[in-house]
Amino acid sequence: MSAPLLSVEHLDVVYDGTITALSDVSLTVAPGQVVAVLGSNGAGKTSLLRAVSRSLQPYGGAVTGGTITFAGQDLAGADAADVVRRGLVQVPEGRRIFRDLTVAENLRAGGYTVRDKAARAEACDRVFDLFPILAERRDQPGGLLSGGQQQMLAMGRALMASPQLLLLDEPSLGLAPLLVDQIGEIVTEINRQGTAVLLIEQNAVMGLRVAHAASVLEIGRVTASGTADELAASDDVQERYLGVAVPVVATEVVESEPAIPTAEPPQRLRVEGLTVRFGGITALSEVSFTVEPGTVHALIGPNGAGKSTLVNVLGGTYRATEGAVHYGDAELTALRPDRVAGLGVARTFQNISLALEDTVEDNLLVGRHRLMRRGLVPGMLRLPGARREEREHRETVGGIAEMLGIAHLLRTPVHTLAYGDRKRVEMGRALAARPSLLLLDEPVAGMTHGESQEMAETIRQVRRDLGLSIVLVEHDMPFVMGLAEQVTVLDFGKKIAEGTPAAVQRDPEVLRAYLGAAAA
Amino acid sequence: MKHRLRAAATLSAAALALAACSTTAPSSSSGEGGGDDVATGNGVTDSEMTIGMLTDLSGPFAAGAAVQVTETQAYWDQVNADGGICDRDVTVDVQDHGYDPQRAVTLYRSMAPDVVALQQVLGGPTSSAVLPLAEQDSLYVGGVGWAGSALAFENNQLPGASNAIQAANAVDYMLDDLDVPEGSTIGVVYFTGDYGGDALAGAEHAAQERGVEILAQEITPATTDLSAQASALAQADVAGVVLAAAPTQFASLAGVLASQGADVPIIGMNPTFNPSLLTTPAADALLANAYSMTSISPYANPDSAGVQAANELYASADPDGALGWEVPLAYVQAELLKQALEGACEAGDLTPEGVVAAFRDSSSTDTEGLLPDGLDYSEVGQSPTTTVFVSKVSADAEAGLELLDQVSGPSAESFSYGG
Amino acid sequence: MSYLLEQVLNGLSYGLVLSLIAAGFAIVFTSTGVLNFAHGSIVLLGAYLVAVLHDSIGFWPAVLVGLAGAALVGVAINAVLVRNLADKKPDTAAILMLGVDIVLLTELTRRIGNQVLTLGAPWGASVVRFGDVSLPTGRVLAAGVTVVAFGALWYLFSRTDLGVGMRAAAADGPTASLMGIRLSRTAATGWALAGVLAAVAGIFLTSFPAPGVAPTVALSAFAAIPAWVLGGFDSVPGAVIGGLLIGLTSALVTGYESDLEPFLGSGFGEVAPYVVMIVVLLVRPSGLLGSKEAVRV
Repeated sequence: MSAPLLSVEHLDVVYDGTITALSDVSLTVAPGQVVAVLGSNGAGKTSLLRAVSRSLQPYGGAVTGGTITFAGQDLAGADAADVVRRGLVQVPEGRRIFRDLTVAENLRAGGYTVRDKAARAEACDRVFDLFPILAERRDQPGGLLSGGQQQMLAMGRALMASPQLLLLDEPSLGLAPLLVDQIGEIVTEINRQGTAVLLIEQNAVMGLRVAHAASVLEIGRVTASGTADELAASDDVQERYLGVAVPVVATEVVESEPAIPTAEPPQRLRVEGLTVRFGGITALSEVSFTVEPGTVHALIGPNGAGKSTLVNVLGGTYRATEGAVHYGDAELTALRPDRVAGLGVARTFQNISLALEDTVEDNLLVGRHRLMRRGLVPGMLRLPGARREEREHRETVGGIAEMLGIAHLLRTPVHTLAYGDRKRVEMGRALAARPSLLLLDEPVAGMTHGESQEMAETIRQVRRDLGLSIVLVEHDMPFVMGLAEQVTVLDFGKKIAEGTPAAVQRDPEVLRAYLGAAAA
Repeated sequence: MKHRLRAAATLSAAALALAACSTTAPSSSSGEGGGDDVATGNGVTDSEMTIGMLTDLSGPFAAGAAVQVTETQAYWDQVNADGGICDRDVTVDVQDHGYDPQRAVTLYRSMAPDVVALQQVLGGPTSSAVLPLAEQDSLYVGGVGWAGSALAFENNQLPGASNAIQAANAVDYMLDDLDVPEGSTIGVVYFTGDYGGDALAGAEHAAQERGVEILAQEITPATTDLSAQASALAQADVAGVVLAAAPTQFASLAGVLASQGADVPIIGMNPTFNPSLLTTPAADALLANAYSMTSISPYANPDSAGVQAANELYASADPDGALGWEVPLAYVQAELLKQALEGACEAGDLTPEGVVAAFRDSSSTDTEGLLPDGLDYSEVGQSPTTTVFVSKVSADAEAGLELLDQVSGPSAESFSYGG
Repeated sequence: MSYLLEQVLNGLSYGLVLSLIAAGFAIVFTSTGVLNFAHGSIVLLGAYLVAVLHDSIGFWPAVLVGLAGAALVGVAINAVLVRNLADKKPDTAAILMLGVDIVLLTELTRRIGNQVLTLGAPWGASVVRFGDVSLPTGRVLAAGVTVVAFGALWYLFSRTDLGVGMRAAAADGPTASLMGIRLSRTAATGWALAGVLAAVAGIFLTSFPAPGVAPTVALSAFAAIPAWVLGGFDSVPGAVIGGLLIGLTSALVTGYESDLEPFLGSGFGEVAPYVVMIVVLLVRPSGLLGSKEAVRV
């Protein structure tokens, strides 16, 4: 192997002076190589990238030991702007495009360090070659692009600086499988054109497919490394990250009755001829389906299919242009969001929306808001009635936390939690409202295979113990298959299939739309 | 948060306790008097007496206040050199309230037990905060400006005619001397608050008496461009303008009115003129049409012995100091207090109450031409005089104002507070 | 009719000057997230420098010094105080700025004293006449200069790397720094720009029809705050529209005060800008052109 382009040796990273994110991490990237770093959420993958791109400081992190060498130069003392000028560019997690800037302006910002006009024009041509869609939409604001296109823009923006080494943080996160494949191909193409890539992925299939070499990171340490083929063949990696030989996760069944007062019994949810338009764009077109009381009903479809729009209509956030949604006898589409909640409908959000500075318990108590009878004044005066009520609320919330396996975290501020746990807190907050219908918007987005299996088990237990209906929005097909009784498939705002998971899985229309033309 | 609140509560309780101590302390240690037959109270010993001065040395009026402090200090030094008052040297305790009413109140509370009178509380909001407290303590307060609202306090001695009297005189003067015809409209541009409001009341009274219309325009000190106001005045074809504002507004209004071809007299109230205005682009307009209607003589007044004395004193105290209306004002405020202290001494009651009684006793106070003669302080609630000084803005006069006349118009004489 | 036209032109030209100040608020806010309550004293500082220097070095060189001085003070405030703030919350920075304002204003007030310092502007008290309507030359110039200034700002923000970089940094600082954009540089540029705009506004606010530099000029910046807020905290075009709206409103309300007085009482001209601001915010809580995120501050 030639002299490495990037060499990380014995790296330690600490946040806020106390929380260790990485310890003794070493890895190298040779010129022209693609190296993947695999690991579940909270393993320290992003911290590793931030350490390399010198952008830890805004997040309160610092390198406390070890060295990072790039192209023979020690990066200690360099700042984020320096490393870009040296040819090392990071594409941040979650794409982070500038939504109010046009596509062209986003790219211009990416080429900020390139002073040579010709070089910049060349880089721009290369980006438009790789991503023709960006050329097509160059004058539109970045915020209008779809998720996949935003990922392309984020990568194109980074390529504008013509880096020697590209750092990619979870490029496949939240994308449908078809798009994940496409991103993988683009990474390979970028690499073929001579750029080395350090790729952070929790989608191990994708990571190992495009990488030459890989390391596995767990709780801040490298637990395995080798060529991609070696790792793909290792039992440990297979079991944990590739979903091969899915282990039956033995979640312990909580024997005790959860301390959650029984909710109203669930009702039938009927969606009839639902159409939603924004300006000229039709997000949903005449969608109808029924969710039977007490079942798990999945809504699946690729990105942009209209799933989130549908959840927002069910939660009362969006208005229906045409059609109606009935929950029991009530028409949800005629109510304000707070009234919808009053009917016993609760939801989680795709992008976690928790109060980060507050403890888990406080966040869960927010969900109890609908059920708090005592007003603000008795609460502030700490009158006996209010204190008794508060104690009851805390007990309920404790029960929910136990069921979700986060009871030990009740006193912990949310911002210190790993991603998977935050998703549970978000679900707990929805459950605290004692709903009879729970809307889960992408509950396993961004989780490893193992983590999403645990989440599936949790969802099963929630339904079993609380006897409620669940509408599950997901694009992770295998996750849904083992969980839902009924599946509705959306594509481009239309219902294209409906039925049991087994039936839907075989539907050629679904395979074509959802899994890509090649699959059909 | 709770801790902080408690700490604050403790502090304020301690402050109250301190204040309580300090009000009781002097009454036990003084009051016996000296070898003479004069009764004394707070702020007076056998050989010394202390007067207070709450001024603004760090806020918006710091520059003018500094001139007044210099002149006041020089005045009392001179008095002490001539043997003092009642055989006692007079000490001036100068404190800086920074134009902050809260600070003024705090300073007043700590100062009140140790002074026999307050020479000055500079500023509208600050003096409004202090006056009621001083009234409860029966403590003399001078130099709080000319707003009619201050007249209601028995302990306050106004240095000359109030703002309403100035404004009423301004309207009278326009009709009697400046060829403004009956039936015309006169503009009044005034600051919100006591000063402007009082002036507007006087002008409205005069308008009713003299058969003219008033077009009022309210502004704030932040209004430095009076284009919109000037256009409105020009549109209404006003025959003259009364201005109760500050120098910035005087210059802007005169300049804009001239640029719109409105060749009408503009009469500014007490502190509305400043010599530096004559260096601004509005100088020509001011020289053509601007007058000043003041309770106190302008700086240039060769006929007044008092003004000459004031100016000489200032020139010797600070040869490089800025000339202006602050010089005679500070001098005459000190002069008024001196007369009150002397009156109290003669009456044998050099207590704070005695000082207030002494100045209220006089129905004809003279100040050697600094203020109009024959000031009548015997009636609480009314302006001590209806006479004011009329000056014209002039490039030749010292400090930019040439004294034209002393006037007391019919509407000024018929104006009465509370009536 | 010519009266109405005159008041409208008056209002628009004054509004343009306000929008220079409001744009300065918006630029500092977007580039560093600071509510710059010291902006008023920077306005005063720019005008003050011109006033004290024009005699010795001539008006135009003094203008250059005034613009540079105001820009430098802005950059220095950012470099010395804002960047070293341990607690980066916007409210902390805002309170710090109030402190800076008091310090600057006290010092300038002390230096100016009770004088009204003339600016020595060559246009003096002259007026330009269009038929029946007359407008001070200073105001006509102000309108022209402001339009040019905003044209230059538009060019900067949409056509240059630095401007696009500033917008990127404003939208998402940490990500922008991953593009090699130095946040310290975009922030300094923002403060400098705001300083220059403030000084330009200061010069026009203190030349005819205003008489000269007096400490109350700093208060004029507060008149620009409703313009800034109703335009949207983070939008320069919003600041322009806000300034025009506020200028027009106060001119018309003041100009027609005698007609409005029976309904609104006297002195409504001073309150009108805030009424307009509140009405706009009721209809559009994030301001005319502001982004929603900015309002969460």
